[in-house]
Amino acid sequence: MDNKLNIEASQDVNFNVDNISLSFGKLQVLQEVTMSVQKNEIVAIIGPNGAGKTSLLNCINGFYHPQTGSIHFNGQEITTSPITERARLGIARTFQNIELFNSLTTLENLLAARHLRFSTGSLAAAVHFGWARSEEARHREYVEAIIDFLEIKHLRKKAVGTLTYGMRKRIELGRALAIEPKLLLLDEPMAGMNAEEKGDMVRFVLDIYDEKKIPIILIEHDIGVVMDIADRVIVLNFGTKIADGLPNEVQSNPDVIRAYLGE
Amino acid sequence: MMNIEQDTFPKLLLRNAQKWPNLVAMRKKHFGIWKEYTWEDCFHSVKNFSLGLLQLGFQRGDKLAIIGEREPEWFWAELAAQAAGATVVALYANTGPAEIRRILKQLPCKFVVAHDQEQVDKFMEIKNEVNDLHQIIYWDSQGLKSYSDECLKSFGEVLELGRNYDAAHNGVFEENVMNGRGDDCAVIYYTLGTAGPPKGAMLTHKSLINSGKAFLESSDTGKHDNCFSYLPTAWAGEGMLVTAAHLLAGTILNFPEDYNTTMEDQREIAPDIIFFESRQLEVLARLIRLKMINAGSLSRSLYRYFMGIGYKRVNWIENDHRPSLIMRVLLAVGNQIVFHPICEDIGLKKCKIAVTTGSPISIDCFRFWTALGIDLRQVYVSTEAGFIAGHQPGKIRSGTVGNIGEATIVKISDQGEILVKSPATFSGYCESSERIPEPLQDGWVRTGDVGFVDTQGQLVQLGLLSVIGHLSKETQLIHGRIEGRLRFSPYVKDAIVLGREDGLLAVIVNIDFESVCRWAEGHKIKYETLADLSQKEEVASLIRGDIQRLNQEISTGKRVKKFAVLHKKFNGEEGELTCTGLLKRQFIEERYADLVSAFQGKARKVEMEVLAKYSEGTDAVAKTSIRIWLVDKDEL
Repeated sequence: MDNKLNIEASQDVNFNVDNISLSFGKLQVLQEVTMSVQKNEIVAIIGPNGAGKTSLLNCINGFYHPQTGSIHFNGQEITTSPITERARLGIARTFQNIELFNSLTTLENLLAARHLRFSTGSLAAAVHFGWARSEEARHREYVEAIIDFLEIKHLRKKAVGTLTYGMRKRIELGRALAIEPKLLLLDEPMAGMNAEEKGDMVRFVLDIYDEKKIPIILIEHDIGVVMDIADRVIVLNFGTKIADGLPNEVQSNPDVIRAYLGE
Repeated sequence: MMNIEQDTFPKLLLRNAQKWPNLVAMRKKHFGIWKEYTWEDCFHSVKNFSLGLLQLGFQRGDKLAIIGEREPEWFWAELAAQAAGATVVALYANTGPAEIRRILKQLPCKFVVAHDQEQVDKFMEIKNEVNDLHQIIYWDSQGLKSYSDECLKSFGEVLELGRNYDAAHNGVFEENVMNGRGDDCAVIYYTLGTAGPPKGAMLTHKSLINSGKAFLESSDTGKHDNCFSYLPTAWAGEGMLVTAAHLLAGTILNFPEDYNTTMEDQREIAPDIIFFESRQLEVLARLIRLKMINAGSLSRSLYRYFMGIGYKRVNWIENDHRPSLIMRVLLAVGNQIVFHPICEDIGLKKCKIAVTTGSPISIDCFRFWTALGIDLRQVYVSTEAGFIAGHQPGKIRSGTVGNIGEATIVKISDQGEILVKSPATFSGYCESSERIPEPLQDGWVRTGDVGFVDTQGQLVQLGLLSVIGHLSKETQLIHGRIEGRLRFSPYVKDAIVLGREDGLLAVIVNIDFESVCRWAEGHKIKYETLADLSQKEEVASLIRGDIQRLNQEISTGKRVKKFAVLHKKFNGEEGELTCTGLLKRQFIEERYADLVSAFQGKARKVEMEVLAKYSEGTDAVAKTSIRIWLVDKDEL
C-alpha cells in the first residue's frame, strides 16, 4: 500500500524577482529587491520583524503589485497577474494566520482547495452525476493522499475550528499542496509550535521537498531550522536585501549581525 | 486437490480460495475507504509474493524475518514464505537495531520484510554486521524514495516479479504448497522475556493449527464474522488464535487505517469477535470509568444504578442462576440506556465474543466487562505450550482462564508450575545454550506459570514461577488480586507488589498521570511537575483509599502495609516493560532496590538517582525523592 504523494515531479524551475520596489504612500516596504530561484532548493527568507518578508511573499503571490520591477515565473511575466492566475500556474502559499474555513472539516477544506483543478462547473456538481461524480472521486483520492502524507487521517471529518493550532497549521500546508504547486511559499510555518511540533513540520517540509522536487521559499524566524534545512538564505532588512548566500556565509556576514543586534 | 490434508497454513489458504473465492477475507481502510480483499485476492497476493521471493533467490529452508505493524502485507508475506518452504521469524515492531543484530546473528535471514522507513532504517544500520542479508522488502514507501540501496525492494516490485513468473510457469506455486508438511517449522516466535532474555520458539504448522482448532472448539466463529485483533502480530498467541481462526474458519480480518483512527474504524466495522490483550481491556475499562466520573450528574446516576444491576448479572452468569422477571426487565432497560450506548461508543456494539489473552485479566476488570454485557472470555495460550485453556460458553467465571482444551493434558508440578502436554506445543528453542532449560522429558512443556485446577475443573493462572513461585498459594492469589484491583482504579496505571512470605506487603504504584492531573485540577491541588504531583499527600490519600478497601477483603496476615507512588511511569524504553506492556519485575526490583529495601525499614522518604533515557538516545540522571506512605495511618 504505497502512499506516496501522487504528484508528478516538475522540471527545473525558472523564477525571477527583478528589482521590485513596493511602497504604501510614503512607507517604503521593499526597495529594489532581486532574487531568483533556478533550481529545486529550499530558500529561507529571514530578517527582523518589519523587514518586508511577508510583503515580498505577497508580491510573489499576487496580493500586492510592486510599483517597479518585474516577476517572471517559468518564462511568463506575472508582475501584475491576478492571484488566481498565479495559483493556476502553480504558485501556492500558506499564511501566517491560517486561512482555513473553520466550520468545514479537514476533508472539505482540502477539497475546496482543489476547486482550481475541477473542470466541471457548479451546475454539474450540484446534480452530481456521471462525469462530475467521477471527477470528484479523483480529486478525493488526491486529497486523501495528502491527508495520508500529513498524518491527519484521524482529523478527516473534524471541523477545523475545533482543532489545535499545530494541527491547523498542518492542514494549512495540506491546503497549499492541494493545488499541485510548482513553487511553494511558506509564511512562518513553524511559528507558535513547541519543539516536537516543529520537528514534525520540518519533517513534512523536507518530505515534500524530497517527493515533489519543487523549490520551497520559506519565511522563518527559528535560525536553528534555517541553518538545518535551507540550501540558501536571503536576508531582508528595512525592505532591502542585505545578504543572499549559503547559510554559513550569511550567519557570519557582519551586515546581517548588525541588522539583528543593532549598531 | 480438495482432499488434501490441510496440515499447513498455505494449504488452508489454497482450500479457502477454492471454496470461497468471492467471500471477503480481509478488509483494510485506506484513504478513508474500506478496501476489501476476497480469498481469491489474498491467494493471488500470496502466490505472486512467494514466486517473487523465489525469483530473487529465496529458497526452501531459508528464513524470512518480518517486522511491522498489523497490515495485510504481514500475513501475505508470512504465508508466501511458508508456501515457499521457509520459516518466518516474527519480530516485534519496537525491536531496536541492537536486538535485531543479536537475533540475525543467531538466525541468519536472507530476506527481511520491513513495514516502512522506520523499520528499514534499523536494518540498514546493522546490515554490514550480519551475514547473508540479501534483500529488505518494504510495503510502505513513504520516505524511502531517496533510498537507492541495491538490497531494497518494494512489496509491489516483488509482486510484479511473481506475477510475470506465474504467467510463464503456471502451477509452480501450488506445487510448492503441496510439498509443505505439517511438521515444517512455520514461525519462530520470540517469548516476551519477562523472566530473562527473549527466546526464539519454533512452532510448526501442525501445532499452530491444533491451537486454532482447540480455540474454535469453544468459540463459535465463522466466515461471515468480522474480527478485530489488538494482539501484536509478532506474538505467538496471534498466530495460534487469530491467524488460525482466519484460515480455519474464514473469519474476516479487519485492519484499521491508522493507530489514531482505530476506535473510529472499529465503530464502523462493529466486529463480531475481538481479540484483546488483557492490559488493553484494563486500559479501556479505565477510560470508560474516567469518562463517567467526568460526566454529568444524570449520566453518572444512571450509570451507577444500572452498573449495580449489571454486576448482579455477573453473579447470575457465574452461578448459573436465572434472574427474576423484574431484574430481567431492569436489565433490558439498562441495556438500552446505559450498556449499549457505551458499547457502541467503543465499537463493541455487535461484539459476540471478546477474547482476552496474554496475562490474566484482573477479576475486577473481567466483572466490569461482563456487567456491561460483553461476552468476555479469557483464553490461556503460551508460546511454548500453545492453546492451553479457554472459557467455554455457559462456563464463564472471573478469576479463571477457563476449561482445559480437549486434546490438552495439564499437570501441576511440585513447585506449582503448570505443565502441558498437547499436539499444540512447540518444537524447541533456537538457542542451544545450556542456561535455558529445555522442555522436560517425555513431552511435558513448562509454561513458567504457577497455577492450579479449581474445584470446578477450571484452570487458574496465578503468575510467573520465577516471581511468585516461592510464595504460598494463598499469597500468590493475593499478589494478583492486589495488583489487579489497583490497576482497576481509574487513577492507577500499574502496580507492583513486593513482599516476601513472612515480610510485609508493600506496593509501588504507577499513577495514571492524565487522570490524576485532571482530578488534581478538579480539587484545586497545585503542582509544579508530574513528579511533584506524584508525591503529594492528597494523591497518596487517593491511593490509600483503594488499598484500604482492598485490605478489608484480605485476611489479616497478608495486608498491604506500605506503598509508594513512583515519580514517573514504568517505561518500555528503559527496560522496565516487555513489548506487550507487562512489568519486568526482576529488572524493576533491581532498579529500585533502594526503594525496596526502604520498605523494610522505617524510612519515610528515599532519595533516588535514576538513569532516564530520552527517546533521541541521550541519557540523563534524574534525582528525585520518593515518599513512603503507610496504609494504616495510626501505625508508626
